[in-house]
Amino acid sequence: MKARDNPFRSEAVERIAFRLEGATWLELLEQLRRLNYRASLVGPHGSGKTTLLEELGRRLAEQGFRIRHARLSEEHPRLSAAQSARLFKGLSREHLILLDGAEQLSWLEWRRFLRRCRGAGGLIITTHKPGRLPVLYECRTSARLLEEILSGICPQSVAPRFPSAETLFERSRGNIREALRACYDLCALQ
Amino acid sequence: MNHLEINLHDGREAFDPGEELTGTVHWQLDCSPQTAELRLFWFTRGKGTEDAGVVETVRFDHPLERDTRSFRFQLPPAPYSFSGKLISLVWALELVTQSPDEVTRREIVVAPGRREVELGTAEVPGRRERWYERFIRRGEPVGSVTQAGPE
Repeated sequence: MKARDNPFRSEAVERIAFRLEGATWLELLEQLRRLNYRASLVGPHGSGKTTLLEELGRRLAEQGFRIRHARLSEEHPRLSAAQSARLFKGLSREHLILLDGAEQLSWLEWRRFLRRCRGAGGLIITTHKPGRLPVLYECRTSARLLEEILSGICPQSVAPRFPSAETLFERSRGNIREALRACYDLCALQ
Repeated sequence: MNHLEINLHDGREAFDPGEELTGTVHWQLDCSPQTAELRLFWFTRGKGTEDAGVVETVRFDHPLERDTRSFRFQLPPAPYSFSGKLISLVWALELVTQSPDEVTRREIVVAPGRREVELGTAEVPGRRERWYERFIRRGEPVGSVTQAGPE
């Protein structure tokens, strides 16, 4: 199967909406307001933290907030001087900073980051473990969730040749992103 | 109801690099859009991060609620439309009016012979092949990656 036809191509996977469990978006936004817009989204690799953060950003922008994004990863664990300048320039109460990958910052870097965010109306981060900001939502994965996602994007023509959602979930150790990448490879071999 | 369409001259969908691409765009909207433009661009699809490049944009002045305009692009010499198992490069035209919701896209092929280039599979030799390379066909590189022919 060609890359452009692969149902698990990154463009298609990125379109998968985050599935909130145990709360509605309204409740989540209300809880965020109560936390004074300083909160964390916690969960392991591939559990949907980034997807949730992006969705939250869209909804907060609709409420009138001006959103500024920053993303840290193992490959890029620090912000460049130019990125920092853009992120912190002229912050006001209407600005919300969304930081993806806060676990990349050391304790000292994190304190420095917090200090520089003081002028902003809020700071929402994603991280693997709780402790840096009050937890707004804990992202969890399950074989059932993977099955739901697969049923939404996996075409019937290839679905029967796939391992079960339980097997894929187990092999990827609960990392949904990894499981979907494995599905890409399975489709590419077809 | 809003309707947008891109029509290519002679209904063609494949072109040689450097060729001229002509056609018309048509839209029918609830009200006159403030802006209307047609973009010629390429983008990648596949397993990794997507990449894209806008080559040229044509802006249509004073667009009406219901309008038809013609366009002309000179296609660049590269990149070619190609497709493999990991990545595809796709050329497209996109008609955008005012709000992001009012968009239509038409994919085209830009490649020599007007045929998308199909990438073969890079085969990494297994242990037996490496042993053969090392002890039987001395002088040949060991563990090299070979490019197979087209699929």
